[in-house]
Amino acid sequence: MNIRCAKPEDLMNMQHCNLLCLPENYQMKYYFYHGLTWPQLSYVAEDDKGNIVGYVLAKMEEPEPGEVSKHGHITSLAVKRPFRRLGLAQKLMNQASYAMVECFDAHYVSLHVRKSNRAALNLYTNSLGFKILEIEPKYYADGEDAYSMRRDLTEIAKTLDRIDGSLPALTGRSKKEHGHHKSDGHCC
Amino acid sequence: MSKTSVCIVGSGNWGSAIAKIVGVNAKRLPQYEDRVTMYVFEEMIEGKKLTEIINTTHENVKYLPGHKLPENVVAVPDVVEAAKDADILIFVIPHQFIKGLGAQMVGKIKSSAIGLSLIKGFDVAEGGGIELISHIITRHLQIPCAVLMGANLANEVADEKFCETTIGVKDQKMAPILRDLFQTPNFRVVVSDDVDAVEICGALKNIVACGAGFVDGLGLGDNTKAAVIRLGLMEMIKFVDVFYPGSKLSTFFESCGVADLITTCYGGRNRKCSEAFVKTGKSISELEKEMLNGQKLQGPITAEEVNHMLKTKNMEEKFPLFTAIHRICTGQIKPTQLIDCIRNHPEHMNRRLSDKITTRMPSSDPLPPKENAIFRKILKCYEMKQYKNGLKLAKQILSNPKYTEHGETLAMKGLTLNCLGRKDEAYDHVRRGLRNDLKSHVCWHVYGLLQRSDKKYDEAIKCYRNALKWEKDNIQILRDLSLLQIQMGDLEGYRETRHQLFKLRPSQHASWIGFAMSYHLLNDFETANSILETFRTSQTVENYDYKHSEFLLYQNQVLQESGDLEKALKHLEEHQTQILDKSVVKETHGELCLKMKRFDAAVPLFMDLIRRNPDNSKYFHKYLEARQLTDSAQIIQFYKEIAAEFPSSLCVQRLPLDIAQGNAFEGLMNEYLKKNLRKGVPPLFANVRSLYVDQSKVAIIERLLLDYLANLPSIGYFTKADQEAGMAREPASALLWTYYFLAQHYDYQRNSLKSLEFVNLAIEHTPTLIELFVAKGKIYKHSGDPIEAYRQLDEAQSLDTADRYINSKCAKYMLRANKIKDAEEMCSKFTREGVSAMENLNEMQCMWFQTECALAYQRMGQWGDALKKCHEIDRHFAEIIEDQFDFHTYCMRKMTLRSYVDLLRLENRLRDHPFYFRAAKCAIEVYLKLFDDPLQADSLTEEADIENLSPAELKKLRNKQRKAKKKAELENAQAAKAEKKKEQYNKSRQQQNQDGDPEAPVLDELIPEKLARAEDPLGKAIEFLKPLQLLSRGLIETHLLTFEIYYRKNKLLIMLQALKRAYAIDSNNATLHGCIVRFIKLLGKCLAGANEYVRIVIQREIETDLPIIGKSNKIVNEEFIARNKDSAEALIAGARVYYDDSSDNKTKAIELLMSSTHLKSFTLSHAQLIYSLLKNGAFGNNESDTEKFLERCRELYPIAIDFKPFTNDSTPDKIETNDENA
Repeated sequence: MNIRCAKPEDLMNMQHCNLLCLPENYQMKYYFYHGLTWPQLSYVAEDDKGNIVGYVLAKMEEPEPGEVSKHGHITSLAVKRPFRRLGLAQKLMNQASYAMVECFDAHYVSLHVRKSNRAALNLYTNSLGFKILEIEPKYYADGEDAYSMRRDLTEIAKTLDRIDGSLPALTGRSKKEHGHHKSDGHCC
Repeated sequence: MSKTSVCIVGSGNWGSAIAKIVGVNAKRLPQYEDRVTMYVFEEMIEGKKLTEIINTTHENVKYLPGHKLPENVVAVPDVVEAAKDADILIFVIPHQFIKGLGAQMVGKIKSSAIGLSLIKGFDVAEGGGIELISHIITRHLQIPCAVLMGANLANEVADEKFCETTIGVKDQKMAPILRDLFQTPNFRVVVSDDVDAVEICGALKNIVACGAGFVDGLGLGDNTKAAVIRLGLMEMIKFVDVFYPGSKLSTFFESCGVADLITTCYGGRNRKCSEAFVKTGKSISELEKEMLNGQKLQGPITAEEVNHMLKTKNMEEKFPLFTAIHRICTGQIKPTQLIDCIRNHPEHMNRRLSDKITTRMPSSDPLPPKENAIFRKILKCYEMKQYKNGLKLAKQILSNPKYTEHGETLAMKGLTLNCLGRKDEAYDHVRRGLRNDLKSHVCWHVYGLLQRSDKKYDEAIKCYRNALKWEKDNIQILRDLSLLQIQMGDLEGYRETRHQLFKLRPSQHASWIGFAMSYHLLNDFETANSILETFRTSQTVENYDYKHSEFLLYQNQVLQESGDLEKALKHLEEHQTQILDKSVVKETHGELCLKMKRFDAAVPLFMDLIRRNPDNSKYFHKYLEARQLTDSAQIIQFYKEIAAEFPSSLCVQRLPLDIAQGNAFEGLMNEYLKKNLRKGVPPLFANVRSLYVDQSKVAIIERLLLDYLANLPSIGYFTKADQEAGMAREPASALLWTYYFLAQHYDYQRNSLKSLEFVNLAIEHTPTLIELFVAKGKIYKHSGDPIEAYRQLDEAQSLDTADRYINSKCAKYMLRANKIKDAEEMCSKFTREGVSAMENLNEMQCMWFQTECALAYQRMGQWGDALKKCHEIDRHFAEIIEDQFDFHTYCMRKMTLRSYVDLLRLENRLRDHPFYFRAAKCAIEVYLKLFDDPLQADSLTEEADIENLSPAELKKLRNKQRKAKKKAELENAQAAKAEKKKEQYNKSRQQQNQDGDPEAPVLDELIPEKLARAEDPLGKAIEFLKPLQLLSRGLIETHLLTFEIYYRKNKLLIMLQALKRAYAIDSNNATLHGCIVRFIKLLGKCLAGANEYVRIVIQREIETDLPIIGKSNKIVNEEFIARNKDSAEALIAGARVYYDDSSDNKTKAIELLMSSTHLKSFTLSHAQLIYSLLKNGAFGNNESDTEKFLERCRELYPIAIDFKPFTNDSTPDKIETNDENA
């Protein structure tokens, strides 16, 4: 299993994955629009053969009224059923969130989820720290309501800082030097 | 001459302000009567009548407080009294009162009077549509009516601040009389005869102002507001063009147009109330009470009336801004949705290429000034999409006998016709124009635009080049040309054009970027970089933003591709603080260090990346490379050490298994398996499947699993060792997951019975686990029973109908069982309602479904349907390639150049995708089949040789024919329906075109009936083959398909080339062997008669590249079999060659076939192939051999339905081979 930033050539296979997994589908142009506007924000999970088994398609949105900065938005997130329970969705979301913070200075990320999709709702609230902002009535084409959800990215930003902050640790003088962690010792 | 007497009907804010001007002018100028009457709707203000207050204090304290009205303005509470003597009646009342007042005035005013309406808005006409206020006045009072509109906020006019206004009046005699009544040093009047347009501007702008107010209320900023204003203006122009054709574009640039629009969007009450509407959440009527003293707000009313018109014309979508504003005002949508509604405005859709035609250079065939002015208007009409006006103007020129053949005018007329959907006439006119004026860049440009709209890009490029011959510096043409060139992959041409644009517009960023990129794409990295570097140093960036960051990354990419790693590294180190995307910085930095063997420097970079994303396997591999760890024990140790830091990393747990061997592997695998089985991780098998390439690992895995299997039921532990170590007992589910794993394990090795045994145990254990039914279906699929396979999947999907994945898989399995209708129905649970699933899936480019459909149709011999699906897939690819057009300018603007270059490279090899390959292969096979065995024009005339048939067979044949007849009838009906639909479609397209968009060419409807009877099936096959030859040269099948097509065209050299390429890929390929033998035979027959040069070439080529020189078929065949004695496929091919060579070889051939079944490489598909060959008499008539072979197959593949003893036709198990269920 491998999680990496999506490249333009992944987009067609992301569409394929989306068509298999989700009722909300888009034409290729919309995938290209994402990939060519915010190349950092979309991630894929691939199996050992390089097949895409999950993806997150994300973008930035203009600030809401009263806000100063843009925020991230998850357009689509899917993991193929045979690859569920590995935590891929969470990993994909976290990577996308890092990029939103780092490249676009996002303060939060938003998404919509079907009211009936309890599994997804559970993932977003319990594993990823999303909160329900409001109900958007009849958001989906078939008339179903959506929960509009948000996740504050302050924690993500801190985590990112912490990771980057641990960089000096790698360069030799650090917390782990006294351990047996040889891999840290080599530096420039 | 008597003096002109004036009455002002109305005394609101605007009426009072205008009374100030009119009063002063009437008094000052001799031609007007001093006394100006003003009808005032009587109200009580603090116990006094408003008329009395006005007439005594000369101030309208309610509506224009603080301003003195001239004393000659007299307030009159009775409208008839006020109006009865007036020559000019100035109407300035809220528009909803006009009918009531008009009714009172009918017959009581001078018949010679003229009206002048200052009222903004419309009224809803009876029976739908809008009616202009001036028209209502004329209709009710039987007097002509002029209008006055402009950027005139009442309070500012009253304050005598400078402004302009527009008076629209038809009667030219009245023009000066009206103008003088209003003109003051600070109130400048322009008179226009375009009365309707002037008036409509005044009404429509109020709608836009609401939009501007919403933008303010939402706090979206000035740019957004400007965009809303501009889109509003475009919708105003379009509205007038649609509903009041014949108006002039210039009117929109008078005060009544753009000026009034701007002022209303910044200062007017519509804006103000709309802002409050958003901010307070109060309703419009509440706000009217609070903010406007109860006066009505015009914008929402006008929006409603306009919406009524658009609705009846079904044009709401063409006016997204007007429509959205109406919906917001009426609470149908939220103000926040405004921007979403206009994000994809038709304006944005149409302008992906500029359609501007410029005529800076003198024309080669100049028109005299008057006609020339008209010609310029035609150009303007085209730009503004006022096509009908354009045609009228063209007619004006062309009807002059001297200019009936004027080239540029004819060309422009043609282009305009094209936009109205009249394609044939368009080509006629443009070509005629061009013939008459070959030196005109306008004609060539127009011809180019026409070709482009038809997506004939190559032709369009030629036209643009011709246009540039006559005007080489035309920016517009150059820009268009550059887009076409990059789209078509004409990189040399692109560079030239980019160079030209760069020289002409060196101050623009895009000029630099485009210029550099044109070199980059041609792999001239050095020049590309030096352009980028010059550009970079010329930039004074204050805040390093995303675009700058992307720019630097692009420049670095160019440097990396140039191979100058040192320079790339230096560039990166120098600028990395300005790059936002730290992951890419570190990846690039790390990669460069590795490439330059600076391993120590790379180590921390990759460790840092691992910390960011511990699930990226590449980072681990690169890290190990940097550490220069090659010893497996050391690597495993490393993973062990970092395990604690990355507890949830899948890589840290899984990657060591790739490296470990023997005991080390067993130890790790044991832990890995136990952990996942304990936890119940369904993808466990999928995660280790890639280890199965190593047989020793497979053996270890199997041993471990069987040990668990032995222990779990008895002692509750995976192993005895666990029990002895005193660990906690395993959960009951551990056994379930062990069964599940073993089922997949044996299925992977195609051990059907064992895998079924375990999956059944698992299902017994937990009958509700969906994964088990999926696994069971898969086992049946692999074992040759597609019917049972799909039934299992159907069971699975019924357990969770909300999961589309399981639904899709079920549909796929149904298609594998040729159950197309069932599959479509299955899919329809997740496709849009109201459209058939097939249509919706096609619209959504759902290629897996279409491919599986095509293959199912192919299996069932429904050639036309199979071809339809293949063509649909091909069209998706065409569309995706077309999609990139919009990104050429977009990405340069967004600066996402790395992704853009990736996109360009991707699109060039897009049809390399497996989706295309499978569709193309299917289509080619079907076309070959149709060439070999064409369908009759009428499928009913097919009459087989029936004499030798048994009665049962005859009955079967008759049944089949009846079915075929039914099907043909159905197909005919469908074809007729499709034809009709296409007609309607074209018609509606044409209608759409009338209001605007020069549309793409309409694609032909794909009708199976026609596709299956293609005139030139080989030609069609070649169309599908071409991309494969270009992009999939590495696949042997490409060359084998090439051979098959050209074998039938008898093209020796192409066949030879295909064989050579295939031979180079895999000289032992069985299909290739059959082709080579056929080729040798063919050479024997026709080489002697071939062209001398062909002969020479073939002789020489065979000598060098194909080792068949001078060998007979027999020798070639024997050598091939000897070389591949372990390959079942090779033995089958060998057997066929034997038998084809001579039926005397039959025994030998059959022996060979039987012996192949004992090979390790023998699979179900080989068995199926041999069986079908035997059945179809490829080895003569040999029932006993077939029976013997079947026996063997049943032994090998007990589950496969193909080999089951024949029961009878009605068995539900029978796989369908003809169309639908009978």
